[in-house]
Amino acid sequence: MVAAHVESAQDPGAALAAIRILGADTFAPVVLAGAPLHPEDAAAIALAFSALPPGRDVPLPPPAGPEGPWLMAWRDWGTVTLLTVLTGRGGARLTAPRPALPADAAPADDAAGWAEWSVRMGQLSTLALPGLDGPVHDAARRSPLALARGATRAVLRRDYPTAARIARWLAWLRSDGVRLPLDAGPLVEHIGLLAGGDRPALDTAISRRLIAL
Amino acid sequence: MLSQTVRPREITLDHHALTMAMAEPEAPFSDAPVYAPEAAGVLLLLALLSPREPKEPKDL
Repeated sequence: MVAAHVESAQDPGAALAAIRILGADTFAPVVLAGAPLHPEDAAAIALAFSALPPGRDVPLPPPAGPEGPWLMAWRDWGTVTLLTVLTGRGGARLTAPRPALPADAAPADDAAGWAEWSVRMGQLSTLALPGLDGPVHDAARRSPLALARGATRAVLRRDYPTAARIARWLAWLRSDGVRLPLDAGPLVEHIGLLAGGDRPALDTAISRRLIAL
Repeated sequence: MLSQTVRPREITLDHHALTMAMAEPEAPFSDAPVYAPEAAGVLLLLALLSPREPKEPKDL
């Protein structure tokens, strides 16, 4: 699917960058709908990483370091980890170091800072997929209330792309068997009705699949 | 075949542009509806100026 897109694209560099930005969501049809992973697609993802290899140094988590490279490192880790899980060690030999989480990785229920934290979790929503698990997922498991508050806040601000990203974590938690302070199903449907754009549509489609698991 | 159309290391991606595209920050301004006390007067005026309910014609 993505290999055909790279082959037919007028600017293959832009197509490879799109794969890199899509990240682990490239595998959503495989892990959520049981579609086979075509070797050419795996090769296209490896090509996207060869065009800009992940840095060997692990970026410092914010606020000690800048947020952008840290987010990119986490997303690259998710893509490479899921590619390795799906193709086995004999597949693409890519590596991406796993970054660290900030000290305030998961706010307590009565703690301040849930708004900023939930937005940051939304920026890592491509990790909310079956087959991936790590410190970010543990942080989500520890703070479902902060995620619920963050998703509600984003809906009230009418920032639906952010709401779709945070709601995806709620959908993932539900598929993981975590008890949630709100029903993720109607929330996802509400966001799906009001959100515009391709990326929120993808996040909503993935959330629907996660809820159906 | 992908390897025939795009060769590894022929393409390089801009690290800064990719980092910016992946950041996906929240919207800087809220679009939430806000409380506007002056709107109460306008709503009351509209309610008073609204036409009356139509009545059934008597000669039918």
